[in-house]
Amino acid sequence: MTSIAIAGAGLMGRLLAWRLSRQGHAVHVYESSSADQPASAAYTAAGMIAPYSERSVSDEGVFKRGLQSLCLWPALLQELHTDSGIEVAYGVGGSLLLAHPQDQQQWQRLRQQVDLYGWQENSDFNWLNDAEVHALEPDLAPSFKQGLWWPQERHIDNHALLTALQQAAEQAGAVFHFEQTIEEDQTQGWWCHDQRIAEDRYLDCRGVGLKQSAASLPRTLRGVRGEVCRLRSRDVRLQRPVRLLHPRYHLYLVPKQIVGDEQHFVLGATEIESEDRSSVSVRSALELLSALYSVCPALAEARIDHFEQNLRPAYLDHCAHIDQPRPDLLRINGLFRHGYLQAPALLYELQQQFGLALAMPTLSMEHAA
Amino acid sequence: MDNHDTLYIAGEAISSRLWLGTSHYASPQQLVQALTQASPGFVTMSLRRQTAQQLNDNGHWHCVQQWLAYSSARILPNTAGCHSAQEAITLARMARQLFGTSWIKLEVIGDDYSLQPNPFELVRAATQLVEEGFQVLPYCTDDLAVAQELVAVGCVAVMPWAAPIGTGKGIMNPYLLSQLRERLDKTVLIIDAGLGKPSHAAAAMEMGFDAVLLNTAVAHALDPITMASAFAHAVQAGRLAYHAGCMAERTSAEPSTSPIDLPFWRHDEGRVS
Repeated sequence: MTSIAIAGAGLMGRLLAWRLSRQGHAVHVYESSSADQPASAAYTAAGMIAPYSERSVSDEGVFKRGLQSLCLWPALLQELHTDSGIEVAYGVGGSLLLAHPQDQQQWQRLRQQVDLYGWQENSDFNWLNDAEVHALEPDLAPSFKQGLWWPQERHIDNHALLTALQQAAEQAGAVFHFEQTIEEDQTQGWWCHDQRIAEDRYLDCRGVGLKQSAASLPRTLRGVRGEVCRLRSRDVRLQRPVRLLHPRYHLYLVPKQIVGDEQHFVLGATEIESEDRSSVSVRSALELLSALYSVCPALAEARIDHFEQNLRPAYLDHCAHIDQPRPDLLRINGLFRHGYLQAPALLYELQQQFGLALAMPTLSMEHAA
Repeated sequence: MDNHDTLYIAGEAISSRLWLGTSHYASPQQLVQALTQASPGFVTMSLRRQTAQQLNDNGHWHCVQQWLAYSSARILPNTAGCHSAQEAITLARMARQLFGTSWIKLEVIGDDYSLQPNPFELVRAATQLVEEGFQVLPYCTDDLAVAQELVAVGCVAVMPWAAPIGTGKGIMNPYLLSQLRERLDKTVLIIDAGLGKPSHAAAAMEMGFDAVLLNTAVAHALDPITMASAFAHAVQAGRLAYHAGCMAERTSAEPSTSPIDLPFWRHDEGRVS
C-alpha cells in the first residue's frame, strides 16, 4: 500500500482520489475551499466532452485526448455507479452547432476545417437542414435553417459526478481535508498549517491555485476568467448541448437535469484574459443572455438561478501537461476549458507513462496510440 | 532598397509595414508563433473593457511582452469596443499605464452592426489625446474630410478601413482610397480592417499605402502560422511593386513578343495572328 497526498479536490484530484483509494492506497486530499462552497473550475464548467466542437480552438493533442476520454467515460461511470450507488447522467445525444443568418460565412470555415481534418460525414458529423435541426431540437428558434450535428460528443452531469467521486473515494478510505491549503517549501516539500505532509507520493492538481505555490514552475500558468449563467425553464427542453458559431464568442447552452417540471441549463461562457474573480459584469451578462434569447426565445421566461465566474487554469499552449519535478511528485495542470474532455485521457497517461496504478479501463488500439 | 524604405511615424522608425492584432488565436503559443513568422512592425492589443477593473496581468500580456523583447516590433494598444470619446480617452489613459507606451490606436465605434467608426467622437477623442501627449493613430472610414480633420488635430497617422472589421472583403472602394492616398500624400496612411487575403494586402501596398494592419485574416486562417508568413511576403511584394511602378493598363492585347515577321500594315489592322 502506498500513501498518497493529493492537492486540489477539483475534477483531477477527485478522479485520482477515487481510482487510487479503490486500489487500496491510503489517500489524503487537501482542498483550500470549503466542502459546501467549492471553488474548483470543475464546478463552474458545463461538463461537455466535445473534441470536435472544440477542435478549432485546441490542438491535435487535446483532440486526441478528447477521443480517448469519449471511450473511457462510459466504463468509468459504470464503475463509479457500482462504487457509489450514484448514477451520473451522461448525455449521449451528441451536440448541435448553429449559426445566426448574419454569421453564415462561419459555415464556410467549418467546411474547410472538416476537410482539413479528414472527418467523415455521417459518422463524425452530419449536416442538417431546417427540418432536421428542428426534429432534433423542436424548441429552438425557427430562424435556424441549418446546423451541424456532432453525434459522438457527450455531456456529463458534472455536479453529480463530483459528489459521486468524493463519496466513492471516501467509501474506499480516502480522507478529504477541506479548507486546508498546501504550502510548498523550496525543496517542493508539502506543508499544511506548519505540519509537514509526509507521504510516499504527491499529486498536485491545484489548477490556478498552483500559482500561489512557492515552487518555480517549468511552464507559465495563468488563469483565464470564464463566466456562466445557470437557469431553469418549464417551457423548454433540450436533448443536447447547443453551440453558436460566432466569430468572437464560444457560446453554448447545455441541458442539465430535470427537477420536477423544470429543466436546468448552463449558459456559457466568456473567456477573458484576466485573473479577476469579481462578479459577472453587466456586459457579459447581456452578451450571454442575448445569445440565449436568440437561440430560443421561449427561454425569455426561464428563471435565472445565478451567475457564476471562475478561473480556468491554462498553459500557453492551452494543453494540459503532466510534470514530474521530483520522482515522487507529479503536477497535473492546465486543463483550461477542456477538463472533462481531457481528464480520463490524463488518467490513462498517468498510468501508462508515469506508472500510477489506476486500473484504468482498456482503450482500443486505435485510441491507445 | 530596404535601407532607404524605412517607415517613420512621429520620427520613430517602424521595423515592418505589416502590423498584426492579437485576438482570436487558439492559444498564446499559436499567437507568438504567428508573430514570429510575420515579424510585424506593430502588435496591437486591446485593453479589454472587462479587464479594465483589474490591471494586473494574468500572464497573457507577459507572454507577448517576452516575445516583444526579442523582436523589433512595438506594442500598439487600442481602444476597441468604445462607443464614445470619453470611454476611449479613459481606456487610452489606462492603456498607457498598463502597456507603458503613449502610442494608441484610437477606435470609437458608431454602429454595432458594421463596426463603422463614429467620426465625430473619433475627432473629439483624438484632439484630447493629442493634447495629452499621445501618438494617436485613429481607425476611420475612407472619408477624405474626416481624414483631413484627424491630420489637422495632430494624429501621427490615419488608418482608413478597406472594409468593415472582420469581413475579409478586401478593398471595397478603391476609388475613395486612392483619392485619399493622392490628397494626403504627406500623411502616413495605414489600411486597417477588412483585409482577408494576402492579395488584398499586396493590393493596398501597390496603391502606395504605408502599411497594413490586420488580425482576423491570420487568426482565423486554418493554419494561422503559415498565413502570417504569407501576409509578410505579400506586404513586401506590394511595397516592391509600388516602388517598381506598375505598368499602365491597356484595353487591347499587346503580344509580349513582337511579331517581327509581319509587315506594319498588318499590325495596324489589328490582325496579328
